[in-house]
Amino acid sequence: MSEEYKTVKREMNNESSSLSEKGWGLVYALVLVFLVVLIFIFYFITEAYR
Amino acid sequence: MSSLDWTVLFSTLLGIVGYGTWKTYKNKNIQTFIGGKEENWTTVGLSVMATQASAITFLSTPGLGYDSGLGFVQFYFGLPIALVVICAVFLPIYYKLNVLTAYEFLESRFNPQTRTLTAVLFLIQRGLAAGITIYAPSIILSTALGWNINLTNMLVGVLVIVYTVSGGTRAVSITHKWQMAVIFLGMFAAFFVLVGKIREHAGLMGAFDLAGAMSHMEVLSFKIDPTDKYTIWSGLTGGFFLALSYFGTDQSQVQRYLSGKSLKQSRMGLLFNGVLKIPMQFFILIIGVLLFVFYQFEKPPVYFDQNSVEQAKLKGFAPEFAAIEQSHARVFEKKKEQALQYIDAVRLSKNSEARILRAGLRASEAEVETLRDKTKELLGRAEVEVRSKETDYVFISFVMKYLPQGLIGLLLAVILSAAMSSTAGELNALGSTATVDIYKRWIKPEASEAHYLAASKWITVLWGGLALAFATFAYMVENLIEAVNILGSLFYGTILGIFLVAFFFKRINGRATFWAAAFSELVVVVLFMTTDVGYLWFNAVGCSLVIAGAVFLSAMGDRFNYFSD
Repeated sequence: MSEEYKTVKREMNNESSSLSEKGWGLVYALVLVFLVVLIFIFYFITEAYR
Repeated sequence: MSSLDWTVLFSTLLGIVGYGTWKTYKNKNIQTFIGGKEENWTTVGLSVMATQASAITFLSTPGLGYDSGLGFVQFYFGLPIALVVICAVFLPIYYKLNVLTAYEFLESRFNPQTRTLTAVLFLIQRGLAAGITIYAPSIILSTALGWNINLTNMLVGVLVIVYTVSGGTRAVSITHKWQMAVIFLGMFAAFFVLVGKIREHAGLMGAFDLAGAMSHMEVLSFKIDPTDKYTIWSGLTGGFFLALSYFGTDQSQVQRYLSGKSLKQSRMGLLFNGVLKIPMQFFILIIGVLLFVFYQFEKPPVYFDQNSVEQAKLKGFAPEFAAIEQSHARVFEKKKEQALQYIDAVRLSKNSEARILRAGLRASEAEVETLRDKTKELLGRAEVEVRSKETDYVFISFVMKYLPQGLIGLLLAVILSAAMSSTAGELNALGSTATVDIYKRWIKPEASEAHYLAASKWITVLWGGLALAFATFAYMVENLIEAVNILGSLFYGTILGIFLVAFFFKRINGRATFWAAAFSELVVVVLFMTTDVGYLWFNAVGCSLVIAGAVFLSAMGDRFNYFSD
């Protein structure tokens, strides 16, 4: 493990609680909610035409 | 094909290639030639999408929708989850280490040996796949349209080499953006023409009712059956690992999103794919389902690969085929009548009548299936070599027979643009990995920027030449596409295992990972040579063995003081 990598990991650990990273967490959650919504739509299509 | 179609086809292809080359030919810096680092999120997102969507996507996927309905979309359910993991875990490290290739990161995390092993595995696997990306659509286009296969290969291969070598990653990204614009335009045009043709017999809702009656509207399957290829479970788990492996560790994709001008732009480009990929695949499958409905009213051939049928007829099987075609015409007329009555019954809410007609439709469809099976059996008896699945010809047959002049040229431009976009992504990645991870790292570590730029261009030309040679001689290998898929499966699992250890097992070092990966690759190759295990399982076996082996060797390290830091 290089020193550069250790430094980068330390920086990332410090940044993980920043507002910007929390904002990205919200975006990720929205993408996953979108996936769930799509699966529900597909479920209704499947049932409607069964 | 009319002169208007040829004009649309060539002006579209040459226009995009010319624009990409003109915008980027002044690129004189190895960092931007390989890394790009100038794109906004829309370009990144479209470039990621264009690399993944090959010509086969637009030839085969409508055929899948036609043949078995919408279930294939489940294969993509794991993709958004994988992209979120990559955005949260992989991307920030790649950015902060300012790497040009994914394998460069492995040297920082582990050691030079692990980086080189992974880069070599990637080069073997992707080098072979690049030839197939050119060959697979060429064989279908040459069979369906009578084009010369070598000329089709050359058209795609040479154009791609020109702009990939001239402008590097930027040229690939810029051309990807316009190729995707043409692809979307062409697919929407095909959709609206298809809907227009179906409207002569049924509205869009009636078309979906009819498709549903014949089991083509089942999107989700909750069955727990390992032999069932597309279920929600296989899509969420298998699809997740496949997408994680492809998007997170395959340089042809990593290079695309690292071309973003900031971490934010790259993340947005990837998430754009996470949101759009499933609807896009669903839309292409819907085109296939509508083709299925269309061919309930317009008589399709018994077998879409007409070239193979003609060959068998010439070998003395014409009377047998004539008998099958006669039966097919009779069943088609019966089924068409049932379809029209069913649409009316549903529209007028005559439920009991609709139920009876539905059973009749399914029975008629089963008769058609039997006739298709008889055709396949005859082709086997005539010893006709069938090089692609029959359903690959469904969409291209429709395009050639039913689309108006001009649109045929546009749809062929869609297919060739898709072939070029995925080939460009692959050649760009092969050139970058061979330059950065092998040439610069081991052969000539100290040289000028200009030297590496020239080396990178020559290496890309070399890979392009190899891909073209492979595509040219590919017809000599039987079941070539499957052979390449098998080879891919031999390496993908090990590569993913190495990256998963790198990102998620902080205490495991390079030596343990390297030896676990070498052992895993050996076991996978031995299993492949000595057993009949289905090749898709090699991905899971390779990945699990690297992780388990690295954990084991790392634990041993405390005892032998070799595998620990």
